[in-house]
Amino acid sequence: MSIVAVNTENLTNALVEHRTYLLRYAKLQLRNDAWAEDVVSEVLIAALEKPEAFEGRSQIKTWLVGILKFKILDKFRQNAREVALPESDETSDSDMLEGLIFKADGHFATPPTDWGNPEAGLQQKEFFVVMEACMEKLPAQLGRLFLMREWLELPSEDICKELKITSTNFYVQLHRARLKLRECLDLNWFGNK
Amino acid sequence: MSSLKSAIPLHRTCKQATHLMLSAQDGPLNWRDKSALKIHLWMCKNCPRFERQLHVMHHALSDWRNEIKK
Repeated sequence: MSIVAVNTENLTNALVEHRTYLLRYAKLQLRNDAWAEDVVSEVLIAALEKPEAFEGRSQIKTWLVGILKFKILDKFRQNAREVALPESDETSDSDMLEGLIFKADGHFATPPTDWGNPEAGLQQKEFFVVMEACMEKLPAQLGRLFLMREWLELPSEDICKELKITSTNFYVQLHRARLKLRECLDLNWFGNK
Repeated sequence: MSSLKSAIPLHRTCKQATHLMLSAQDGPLNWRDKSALKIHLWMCKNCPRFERQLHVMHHALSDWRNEIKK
């Protein structure tokens, strides 16, 4: 009896500590602060209701993030109408590229710079802060789509279904997001102003 | 000869190459696109840098995902 009580108390303390980053990722993915608050509360309640589910797992963060991803998908489904992307004008990848990084004559507007071999440096906390800020800067719908792919790791067909878009449009949007992220990192991390 | 050349359109502009490099992030290219891209990358100064940047981003995103899980 007392062992269970101690564990629950430990868990409660741990959950309070973990709330901050859960909320950060929820906001990044959902792009709606009220939904994010809801979802994180649901995660904490689910964790408190089933502390035994955590037993034997070494990483509480892995466990909580797993629940969070699940709850986020629920939230998207509850708000399907709002999450759906508006009917697009079916921009092609080619048109999108021309607007973003190419001139009309097919040349790069600004030639890509050499980022060097930064792999080791990219595991720093500072880099992740910049990268998260860049993802946050994506327009809300683009950010949702990009994180569904890169964080929730959903298959493209599932994302098309959630956002009610065609696969062509999905790839145009995904490429657009990658280009915007690249530009933001170029400016804010690799220092090419 | 010229008809043969046009039948094998291996020359791609940087814009077309960029489209292929972005597509390659999300799944394998067919052999024709793959060869065309390879040839373009040999000849071009800018596109290999772009490809390298995509590569760096790909790894950065995967490190970030793993960091969140830890």
